[in-house]
Amino acid sequence: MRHKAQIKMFETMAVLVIFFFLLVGGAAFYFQIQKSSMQREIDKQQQLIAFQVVQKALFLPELDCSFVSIQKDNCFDKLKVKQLSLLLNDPENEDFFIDYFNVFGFADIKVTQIYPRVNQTFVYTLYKNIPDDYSSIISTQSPVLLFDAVENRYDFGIVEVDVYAE
Amino acid sequence: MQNKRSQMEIMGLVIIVILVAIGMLFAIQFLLKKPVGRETAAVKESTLAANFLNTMLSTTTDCFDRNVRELLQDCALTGGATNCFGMSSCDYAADQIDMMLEDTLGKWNKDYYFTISGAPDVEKIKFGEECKYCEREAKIHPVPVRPGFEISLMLEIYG
Amino acid sequence: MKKRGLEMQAHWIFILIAGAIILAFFFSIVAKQKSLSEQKISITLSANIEAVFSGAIESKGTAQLLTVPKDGIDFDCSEACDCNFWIGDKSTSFRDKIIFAPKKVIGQDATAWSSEWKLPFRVSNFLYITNPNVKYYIVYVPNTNSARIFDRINKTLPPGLNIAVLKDPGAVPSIPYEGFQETKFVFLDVPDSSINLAGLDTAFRKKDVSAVNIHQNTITFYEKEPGELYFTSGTSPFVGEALMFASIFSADKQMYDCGLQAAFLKLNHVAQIIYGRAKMIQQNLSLSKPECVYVLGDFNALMQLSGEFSSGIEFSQKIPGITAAANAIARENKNLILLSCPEIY
Repeated sequence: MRHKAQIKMFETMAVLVIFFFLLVGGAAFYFQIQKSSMQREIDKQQQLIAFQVVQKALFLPELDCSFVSIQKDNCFDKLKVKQLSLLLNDPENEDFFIDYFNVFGFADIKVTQIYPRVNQTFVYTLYKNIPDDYSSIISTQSPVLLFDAVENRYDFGIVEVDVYAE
Repeated sequence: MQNKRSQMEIMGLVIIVILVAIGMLFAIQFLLKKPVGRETAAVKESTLAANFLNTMLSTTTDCFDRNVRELLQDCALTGGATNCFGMSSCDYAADQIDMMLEDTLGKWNKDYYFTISGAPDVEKIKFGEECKYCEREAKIHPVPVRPGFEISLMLEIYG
Repeated sequence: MKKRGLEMQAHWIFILIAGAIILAFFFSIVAKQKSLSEQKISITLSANIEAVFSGAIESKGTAQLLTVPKDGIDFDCSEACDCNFWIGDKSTSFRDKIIFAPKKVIGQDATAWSSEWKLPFRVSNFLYITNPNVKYYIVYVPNTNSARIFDRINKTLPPGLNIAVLKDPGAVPSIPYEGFQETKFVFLDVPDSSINLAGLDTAFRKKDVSAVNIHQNTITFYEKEPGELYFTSGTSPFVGEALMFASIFSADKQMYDCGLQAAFLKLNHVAQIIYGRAKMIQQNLSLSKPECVYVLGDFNALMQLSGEFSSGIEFSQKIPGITAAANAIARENKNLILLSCPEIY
């Protein structure tokens, strides 16, 4: 009789132990999947943000080429690029730079002339704000026309946007 | 007693099989999922191809300050009658296009295939290697030469 | 015998307690997961909708349909011009986007329409959001300036908006409440004395009703006190058609003023760049094209006034100054085009 009761007790204990093992195992598996899913979602959102920054850079009214008030798509005016770069990189014009943080966040935006190849290359860092710590950089390059108002010609350029994710 | 015991053992086995099957389902789901950012990368490449063609066509060259579009139109219409620094407009345009492709897509280690169709003289302008079975984003940009006659530029970027 | 009876009861009590504990444990996990999932969905939705807004604002002149989440999107601007849109508990700042929308967009798909603001050069695009749950009554007086404004608006507004037109301001009090989530009366240069909002149907008392009266270069906002048919009014300036539409779609005067300040800040930045560019062109062409003279004095006025307006300084009186500066720059630009000189903008 006593032995029977003891066996029954052990049986119950064994069931409970196995049950909790399965529970913990299942929970660990589930949370691992959740973590992986969250990470994928974060990566996806970062890609989306980077894409938005690139779109904003390409459609800035500050840089657009317009003729008789008609805007030309995918085109930067070279002198506007130069002027915006000067204003954004002027240490005495901090307010101006802070206003653009709302637009670009943590990013590094460069405009480079690719064609024609000239001795003095047209390369301007438009905006640069790199955080001290970042988890990843998403780089995008996009071809863009560079309009020279003085020479009245269009050159082939690239806008490189590096977006930093914290 | 014996019957009940064996029934319970079978039940146990069934539960284990079900758990293993569910586990395998999850594992397969993850294995087959596309890597993150592939959708965004596809959109970026498609935009890149379109932007490249648009930008390239409007770029001014040193040949009488004509842009690439005008040189290609001249090539399609006259077979390259315009003389650009001793070259025909077709050869000169091809040269400039090659330069732009190499300094951008080439430098970024992106494989591409560029072709023009619609006229025999422009069809000679081809750059890159076609990859029939690669994942690609392609853009076709029509360029009117004269009413009823147009050429098409195609750029495929493989990624 | 007694022992067996007790054993049975104890066994069942044990089962009940253990079962209750296990069930409670699992229910708490499920509840926690539900809350986490809802938060995750709100965050994802907010990010996606922000991306949609960014795309919509760049496609100027086009109207597109936006799918609205089940709980709707709330738009709000604080007095410090901290403007956010809310999806569930998640708020997302407008950041650099200038958006004008009703307080809440819910139910049906929303229309997002963008329009560029020029003064005289392109400064920014504004994004207007609305949906068929907002009813607009456009009120104008025929054969007056009011009718001219109506023609402009009628040609420009995108289709799909829930609009009714009234040709008599006196007909406003007879408008019945039709069950819309929000009702907005848009008066086009109607004399203030002809506006009788207090006489509206009593059914409007507890509903969301507001009005704007668009004059030559000011807009009067009428905002209803909750639970009463009593309206307070406030005036803000506008310059350019885009700001006129902004007042129509804006939830309230606060949102409009915040958008206005953001727009003038942008104007200040763009003006500085165009000014610098014009000076560089002048320097480069001084020898080769001496006929290309760039008179840039009006830029100083434009930059100064836009700088003041962007910091919220009372600007109603100075709007004619900014309009005059903008017109002078436009004339100067036209002259340069006629001389085949590179334009100012």
